Amino acid sequence: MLPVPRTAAWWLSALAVCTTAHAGDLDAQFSGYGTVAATYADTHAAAYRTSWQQSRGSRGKVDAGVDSRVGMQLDLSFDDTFSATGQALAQRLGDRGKVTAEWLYAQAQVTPETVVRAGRLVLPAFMLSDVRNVGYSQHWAHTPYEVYLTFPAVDGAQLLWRDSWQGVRFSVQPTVGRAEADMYYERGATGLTPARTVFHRLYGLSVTAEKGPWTARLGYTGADATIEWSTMPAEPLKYTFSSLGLQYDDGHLMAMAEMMIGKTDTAHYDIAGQYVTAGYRLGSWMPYATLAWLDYEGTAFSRLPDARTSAVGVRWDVVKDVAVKAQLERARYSGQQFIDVTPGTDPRKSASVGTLSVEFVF
Amino acid sequence: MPNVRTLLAALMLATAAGTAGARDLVVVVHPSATALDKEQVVDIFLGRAPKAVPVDQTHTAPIRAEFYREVTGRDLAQVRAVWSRVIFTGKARAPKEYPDSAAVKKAVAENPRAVGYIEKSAVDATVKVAYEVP
Repeated sequence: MLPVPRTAAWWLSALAVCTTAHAGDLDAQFSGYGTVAATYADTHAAAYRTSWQQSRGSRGKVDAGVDSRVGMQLDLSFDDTFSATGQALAQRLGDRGKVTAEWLYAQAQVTPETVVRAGRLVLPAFMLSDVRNVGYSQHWAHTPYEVYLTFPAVDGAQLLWRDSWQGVRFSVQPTVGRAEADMYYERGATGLTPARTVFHRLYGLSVTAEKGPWTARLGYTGADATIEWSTMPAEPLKYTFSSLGLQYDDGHLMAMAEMMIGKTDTAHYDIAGQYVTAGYRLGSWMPYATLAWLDYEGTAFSRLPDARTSAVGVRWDVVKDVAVKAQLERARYSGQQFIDVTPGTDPRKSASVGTLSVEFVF
Repeated sequence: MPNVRTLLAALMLATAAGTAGARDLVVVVHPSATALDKEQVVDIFLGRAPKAVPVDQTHTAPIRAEFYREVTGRDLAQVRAVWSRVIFTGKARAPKEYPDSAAVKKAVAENPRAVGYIEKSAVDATVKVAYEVP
């Protein structure tokens, strides 16, 4: 992903024009979030990462870069209709920390129920995709790798329609655009292979229904992509991802389950992932457990056993706006979170990973 | 035995002070706005009602923790976690905080979309009670 591509630059200048035009009633809000974490994978057979955009991870020693990040957001309201939001995110991309524009868009409230946005946006591919980086908003140390594939931020447009009917709140959110990023694919024999991944056309639809403690969500994402391998000919691909998520939260008991089915036109990289997680709040403490698994169905994954992760952890809300989390997990080497796997490692075997993190918002 | 009487009086006072924590709270809106049911109030104060403007008390005000616990069943840290999902996806702005119930009333009286919460005893003609916290 380029730090600021042309479309984003265009919106930024449009924003500057609006700002000068409406300087009188401009309302600005600054906020942010962050994670300071130490991640330790108790193995020398592979390195543990938390995103497809990372090429370095913890391998037998504490790594502070795998889960740590900081995001800063500026919201500008010009009047009751027009507003703009920019969010810069610093996190590990590749093998080092980098800052990118995660969100950068102008928004118009066209009806009381409808918002239209254009600029740089995060695709809500799965239930928590658009808040994946905001650790404070979640109970676990990181979203399950088996479902939460990394999609780079999209340069495009998004519509958000929200209304309620018969006491059920509905939200419909279509997104279209283009995205690209350097991704790192673990390819068995050839090892970790970097590839510029270009999503020429990325489109998605997210539909949510909420009532009382229940949330149900349907998601569909399609992509026309090219994986530009550095060592092989570029590979064009058509992807579709369908997902179904269910969440229950009554203030004490929190439970969530989600499944995702990924299909490719060539059937090379077909996958199916799911997780279940539950936690119970006891005052400011919340112990939780998560099970996640991923089936490799594509022809490119022959003989790769399904990936599995089981995790237990606790979240502790220490003081206002600060939470501490400790998580322990066992994950199979066949999972894509493991990179630079030592040849000969049994993919059915698991490694233990521990994460200690401090999450904050401001 | 004046000492016993003093002790009893002190005990009664302490009990009274204890129950005073659970004061009567009401949700107030602009006089031209309509009444709300509990689910609507929960949605507004958890950032799920894009049409309303929630008006908050300061974080340290006891009324704030009490209101969210009674109405949403969540403590302030949980409420903040819910709001951080809303804020960092641009779906809503964090509610503005006002120093006391008088300031909340003033903000509500000035904006037909604003929704605040105050002690029942603080209600006057400038605002309308939209929901009574049971």
